[in-house]
Amino acid sequence: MNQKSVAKLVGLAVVAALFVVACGGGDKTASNAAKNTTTTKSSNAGKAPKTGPGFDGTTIKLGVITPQSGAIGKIVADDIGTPMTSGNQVYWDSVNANGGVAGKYKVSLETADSQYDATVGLQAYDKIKNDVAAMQQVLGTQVLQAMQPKLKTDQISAGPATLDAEWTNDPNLFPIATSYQLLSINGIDYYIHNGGSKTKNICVLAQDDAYGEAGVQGANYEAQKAGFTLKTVQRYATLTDKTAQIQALKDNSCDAVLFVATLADTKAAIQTAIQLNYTARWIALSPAWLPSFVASSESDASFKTYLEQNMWVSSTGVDWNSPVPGYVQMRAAIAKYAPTQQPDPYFAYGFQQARAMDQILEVAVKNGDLSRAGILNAINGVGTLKFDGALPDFFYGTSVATRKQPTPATIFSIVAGVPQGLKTLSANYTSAAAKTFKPAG
Amino acid sequence: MASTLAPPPAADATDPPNRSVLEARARREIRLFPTPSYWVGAAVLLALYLVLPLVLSDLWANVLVLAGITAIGGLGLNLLTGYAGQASLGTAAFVGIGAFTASYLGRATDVNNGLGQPFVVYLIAAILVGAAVGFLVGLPALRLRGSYLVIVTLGFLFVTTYVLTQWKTVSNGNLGAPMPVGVQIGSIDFTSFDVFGMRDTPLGRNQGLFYLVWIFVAITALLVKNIVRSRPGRALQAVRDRDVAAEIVGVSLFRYKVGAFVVSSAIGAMAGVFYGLYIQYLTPNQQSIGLTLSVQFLAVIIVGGIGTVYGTVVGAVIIGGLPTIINEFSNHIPYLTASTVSAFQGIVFALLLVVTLLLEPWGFAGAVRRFKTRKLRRTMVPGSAGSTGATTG
Repeated sequence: MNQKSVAKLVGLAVVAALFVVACGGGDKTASNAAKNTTTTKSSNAGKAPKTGPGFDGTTIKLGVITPQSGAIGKIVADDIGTPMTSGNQVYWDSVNANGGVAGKYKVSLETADSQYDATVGLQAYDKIKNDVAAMQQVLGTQVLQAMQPKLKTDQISAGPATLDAEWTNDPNLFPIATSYQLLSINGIDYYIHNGGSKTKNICVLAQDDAYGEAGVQGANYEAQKAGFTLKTVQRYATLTDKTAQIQALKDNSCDAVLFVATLADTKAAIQTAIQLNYTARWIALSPAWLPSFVASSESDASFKTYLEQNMWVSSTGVDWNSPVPGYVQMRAAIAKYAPTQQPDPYFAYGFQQARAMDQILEVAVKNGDLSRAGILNAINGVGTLKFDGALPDFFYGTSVATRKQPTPATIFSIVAGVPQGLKTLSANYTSAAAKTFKPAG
Repeated sequence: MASTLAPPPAADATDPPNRSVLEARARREIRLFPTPSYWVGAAVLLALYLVLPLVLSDLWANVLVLAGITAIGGLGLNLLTGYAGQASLGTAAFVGIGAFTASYLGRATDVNNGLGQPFVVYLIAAILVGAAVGFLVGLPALRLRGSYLVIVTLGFLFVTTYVLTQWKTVSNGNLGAPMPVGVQIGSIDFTSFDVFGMRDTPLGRNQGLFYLVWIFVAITALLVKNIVRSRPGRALQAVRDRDVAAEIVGVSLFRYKVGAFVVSSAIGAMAGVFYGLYIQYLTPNQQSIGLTLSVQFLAVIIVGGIGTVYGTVVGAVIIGGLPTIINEFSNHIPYLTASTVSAFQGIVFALLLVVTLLLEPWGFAGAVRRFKTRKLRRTMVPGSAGSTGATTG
């Protein structure tokens, strides 16, 4: 083969390939997904709703992007992701048993593993996005941040399993609970008015990522509004030694520590504090808590005692045995569909998240449109997401501009032997600063 | 086709080739396409480049985009480590520098103080910033080598993460910052790709990024190949093999050691721009642009072949694709559950490195070279096993 014939071959290949590029059939775009949206019969209310990816006219398929494995992912999966997805599943099991959404359309979940890593999370998204009508759950702030532009392009709505305040400003997301910023604001304010004061040394120990920064934002806002200065803000990389940071808290004589961590770091941080003989009032945000920390299986007695004596958790939700209708319904569903499920705040969150999705889908059915665009529009038609006391109601209004994120937090003390290890100190606690806080963006 | 090739530089060659044969061989070896089979290979690759995004699912397009980005960074690292002999764990730092430079310059003016510059501007700026920082990091390389240099580059990685976290104008601190949404060159929008408006519906972001990234893989590969097959490349290899001897014969250590850092860092920063466009939201912490990412680039050149260009690209595809292949076929692997997939991926990754280093330290490219040499010997040596009896000149 001489060079001339080789050049001809190359030219031929290029022309052929260009032809395929121009006319080829393969297509993976959102616009194509939108094009696939068809009206099976009629788009009028009362008739069969519009179908689209993830809805074939009978079953609505929802995606769950959550860690199932990975170095950090496995820890998050075992203690947060798995119970949260179980919460989603049990809710939909109970709805499906009654015929499904609007009594007609059953819901199934498709799960993909993000390994709690943004890169893997994007691949998980691409793997399932063509199969689902919406994302029931996306766990992990960095994973969700990476996914946001794609959700917008693909017109997919998603339930964030992370509580950053900024989600409120994204029309594709439907957050359901009080944000990390507000949990921080309320947690510190509760301390100031219940045993502490703003003249005490108030500090922050936060992980060095977006979640940690959300907590620090809240602490700074509360400090500014309440008129004090944070004594020190210490940051750490997750799963690393925290001796230097805890020593710094001790050296600064911190009386209270806002603890913005995930449960992967809680035990190590508290055990370091015990080793350094450092005692303070720890105000942990909800992701730092795990019921098994004070379960009978926990062998470290000093750890349990320290938590009971020194830690509060600023969270959403109520005591597991609360008589509020939202929890009564949840416990009944557990008895029927997951009898071995132990009291777990992440399960409860997942259950309520599915309840929010259900309300949105009901509106979409009423509008006669279960396509992705229809579900997205339904978020703005839902008015207020209601949780029957399980969570504060969330006012959505007609656009992101009218959304008002709930401000109350529940402040829990740690009590071994009670369900979830949590006992309410103050329900629906809202500080003055929380009422004026606005999410950035 | 084998008959047209010169014999390999075998130790057991009987007669030393004369000067003209050696010169001819040398000329052929430094040619970009020494035989027609290279042209055929290039045509196949070009056809694959054009067709693959149309036939692959979004997931695999995504995987190949990431593999392409890894290939670009790997090519930069291979120039530095494979050809110039300067070991580095700092690649992720340059990826981060490139990504955040692009983010700051390219994101909209109403988003975290961005400057709203177009793709071409922020790409060039990121490359220049990467080169400038690479120059500074390259200076210690004049006095350090081996594990000492590795530690310096490791330290540089941590310093970079810290500086980026603190430099909130650029990075928005721990909250992180978005990348520019659109990727346009002239009238071509790579997030909604079309060819002269000929398609009914444009291709998606993954497919557009595939076209964009792999063009730059080709450009980078050509750049590196041209460097290593020319005078600077031979100087780099002389520095790698015996830096003192190289200096004695007139090779400027400053020029070539620091130069290798500059070019490698610029390429790393370019990879960072594409990494940012891929991941779309940047966070300046170890989880995103940390040691794990640097190790991944090292793994690419080890598996692909230290000191080869095409081996790096193959290594990037292997390292980039392996986790997804395992994930996709995990249902068929006994005892593997959803919660153990990642651990299994880690084991396979580690085994791949260990096996490569033990059995074929020159990676995939080394294995191919060994295979080719064996095949040539068989055709050259009369009476050897598998010989056709033919002799080549």
